[in-house]
Amino acid sequence: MTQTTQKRSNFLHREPFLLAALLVLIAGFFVFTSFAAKSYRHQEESFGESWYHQGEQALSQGRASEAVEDFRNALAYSRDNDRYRLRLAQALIADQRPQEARAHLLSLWEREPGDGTVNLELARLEGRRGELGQALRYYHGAIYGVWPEEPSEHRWETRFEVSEFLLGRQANAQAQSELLALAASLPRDDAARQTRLGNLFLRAGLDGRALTAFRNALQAQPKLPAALAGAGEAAFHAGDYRTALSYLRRAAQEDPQNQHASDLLTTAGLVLELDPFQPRLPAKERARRVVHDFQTALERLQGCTQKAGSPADPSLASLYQEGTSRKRRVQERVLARDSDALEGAMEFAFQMEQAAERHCGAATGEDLALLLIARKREAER
Amino acid sequence: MSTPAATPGGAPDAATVPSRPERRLLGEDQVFLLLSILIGVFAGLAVVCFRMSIDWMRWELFGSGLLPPRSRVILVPGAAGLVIAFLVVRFFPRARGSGVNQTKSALYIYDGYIPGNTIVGKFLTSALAIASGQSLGPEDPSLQIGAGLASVIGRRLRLSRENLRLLAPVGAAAGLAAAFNSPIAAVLFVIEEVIGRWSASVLGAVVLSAVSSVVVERWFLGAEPLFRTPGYRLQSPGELLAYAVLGVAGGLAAVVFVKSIQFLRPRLKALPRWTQYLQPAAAGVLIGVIGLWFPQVMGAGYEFMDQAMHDQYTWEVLGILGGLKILSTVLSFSSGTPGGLFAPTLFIGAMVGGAVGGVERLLFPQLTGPIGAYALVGMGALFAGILRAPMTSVFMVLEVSGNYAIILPVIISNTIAYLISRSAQRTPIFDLLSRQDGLDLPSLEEDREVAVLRVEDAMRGPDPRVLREEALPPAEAVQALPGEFFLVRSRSGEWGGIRKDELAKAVAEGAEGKVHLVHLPRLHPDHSLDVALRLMGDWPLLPVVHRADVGRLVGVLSLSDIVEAYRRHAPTREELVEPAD
Repeated sequence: MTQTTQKRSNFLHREPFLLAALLVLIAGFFVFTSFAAKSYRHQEESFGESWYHQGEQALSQGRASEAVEDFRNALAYSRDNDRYRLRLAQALIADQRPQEARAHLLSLWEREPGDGTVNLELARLEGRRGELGQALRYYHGAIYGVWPEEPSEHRWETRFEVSEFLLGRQANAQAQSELLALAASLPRDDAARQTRLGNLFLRAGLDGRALTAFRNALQAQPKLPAALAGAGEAAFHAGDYRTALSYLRRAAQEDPQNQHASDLLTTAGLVLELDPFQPRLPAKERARRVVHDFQTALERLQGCTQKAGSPADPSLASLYQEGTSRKRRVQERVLARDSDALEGAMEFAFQMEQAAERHCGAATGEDLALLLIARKREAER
Repeated sequence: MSTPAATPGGAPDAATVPSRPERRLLGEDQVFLLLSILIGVFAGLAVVCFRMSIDWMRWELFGSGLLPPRSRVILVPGAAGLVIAFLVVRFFPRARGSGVNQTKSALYIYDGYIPGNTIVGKFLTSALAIASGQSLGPEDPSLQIGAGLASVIGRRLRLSRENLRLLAPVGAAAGLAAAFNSPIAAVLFVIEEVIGRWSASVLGAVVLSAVSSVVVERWFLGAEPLFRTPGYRLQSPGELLAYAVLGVAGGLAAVVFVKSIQFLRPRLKALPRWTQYLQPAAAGVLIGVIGLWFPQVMGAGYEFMDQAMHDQYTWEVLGILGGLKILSTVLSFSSGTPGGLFAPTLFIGAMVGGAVGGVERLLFPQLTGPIGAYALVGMGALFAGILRAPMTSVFMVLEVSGNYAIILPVIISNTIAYLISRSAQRTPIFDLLSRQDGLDLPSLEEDREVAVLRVEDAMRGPDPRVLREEALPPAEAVQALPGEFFLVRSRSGEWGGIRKDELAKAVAEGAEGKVHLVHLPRLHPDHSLDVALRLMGDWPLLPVVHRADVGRLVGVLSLSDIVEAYRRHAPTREELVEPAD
């Protein structure tokens, strides 16, 4: 046997013992490392939580910049802790550093694309950046995403937010579809949310839907001032001034401070007082209203043509002249007998009001009421 | 594993069964593979402890916040530098440096021998250096710790010299894999930079050790990749141009970094010996001064790389951090403080990448890639440019980020950075360091670049010594033929050889068709001359045949042809002169 073979043989003979010894050594080292690692992890968790709570405190006290550093420290001890990363992102947003926040949120989103909170924060950031499409994508991610607590509440709130976001960007058609979806899922007896929904329907131009939402709210809370005012406004915009008057009166009783409702109430009252086309109105009264309305419109036009500083518009002047000449024929006894003359007089009154509005700005009081009657008449045709 | 032959009574009796083959459970190669796994586990445990030690020390020295308290920023690195210098100069001189060259030295100079106290020294001094804010990383020390453990275990097991030499890189791969949580990059790095060759046995052992160490590391420290990067998707191929620009910037930054070390390190080494006690402290103080304004450059800086990837800095700050990190790492490393270059390289890359990405996005807002993607690609570019391990750099980026979508930009950027670095800095950094230390370790990059000479570079065309069996010359003409050995193509198309006297005898006896030819190895034009030399043996002449038609001769090759080819391709005197760097 050569020397090399001898050595190899020695090794191979000692091999089981040596390998066993090595295994024992590794086992010992493993146990030691396990204890050390346990202590290490405990220490890391402790540091992480400590910094996290410090950050929460700073954030709640409005010290966003400090909170950012605290959350960063916390994250250094637990890089995979989504809670820390999310709070860091929120602190960065609070500290007006949306770009930095976005990177963290994207990182979170990649791990959990269905996380409601992350999607919502990203949607807000994209909205601020003016990225409508991206924002909508994340808003929908939030609506259909996972919310560990009170998922329905969060989804409703997100729908409200996305609807407001869209209305703010004049994307009414998209907002309407969001609101319709929200209306379908919102409980009828949730008066506060039904009222909010009604107001958003109003902003989106869906007056009928708005009225339904306010009525739902009033079923749950009949004296809710905001719902009463909203219902009144919805009915007002829908041209149902009688209903509007009813709701607005109740709203004014419940909340006398609501100036907007009070103005609407006044206007609705005037519409009902001045409208000669209301059903079951005696012919004499109808004629009286037309004479009054014609006179009101003529005065408005006169005021408009004489408005200081504005060069007299030839069309306005000729309209006024025609009105003056027509006025002689607008007599109660004539109009009471001749419905065509009544219609013609009222049409001319509407023309005068509309011309005055075009040239001299928004109408108020009786002039506004006359314009509303004109619109209603137009719609009925 | 082997078991001695045993008698039925149970006692081994070699005398009675002398010729009976040894009964072994495992062969030596299998034992080696088993050892590789155990070394991987051992190295993994050691690296886990090493990383925990760094953090514990940092918490003690600076507290638990990411940013150190200003009152300690200068004091701690300075004081720790004194302790480190004392330990290194007095007790652990081999712990100096990164650890990669030390492992290569063990492999190529010391037959795989790494002293046990070097492991202890590397562990303690590197951990203290990194924890105290020196701008160095834990990966290269982990590599050396792994190699050292493998060496100690191999010596205890009294492995053969050959296996002991192989065991060091096996441990190195395990250490690096655990430090980076990236087994593929570790295996590639050890193959590319330490061993320099691929062979099934080495590769198997290295892979097993790397995988087992990573399993251990993940068991204790978690399986998440080193970095959490925001998602990336290449929107248009035009964006690759942006990454090409990043490759250029990365290459230039790499050259600045290596040239700075090349300049400063020998000058600090040349200072009187007593200054070695002060150099790490001086470097620590200077880094502390930088840390007063930019504490991010202190230590390994992984948390700040993560922040850079999450768009937490403006491009101006990223650029400043990249520049200051180059400065602080050059100071730390040149002062002889033990610690690695991998983490600083990644840090510089992340910052340079982020800065370039920020500027590009400013100039071209249509670029969609997030800053994190640029930071990640920048890491790879600097890794390729500084450490000059192109394959490793690509896989390292993929593994540390867990993001495969980034591969195209990484390949482009790394290649450009690598090429720029190579053209501006001929000697790779590890070769440079070993030469500064007076060691002549093999340069694996230079080896890769040496042109392989092939049979087609040396073979000659038609030769009068080539005959055909069916047309042998008459007996009187044989003696007139040149040479003493002939190649003969048999009727079956095979090539054989015959000596002149045997041919003359066979022809004289009229043994046409019965010539006894000796079978010859055949060569192909694309065979390397190294292979040709091995096959040549004592044959005076070998046939070079076509691969698609082995009966078709394309040339002949003799030993003198091979020697002549090597002589023709020998480097000139100018090429033999060592590069100025």
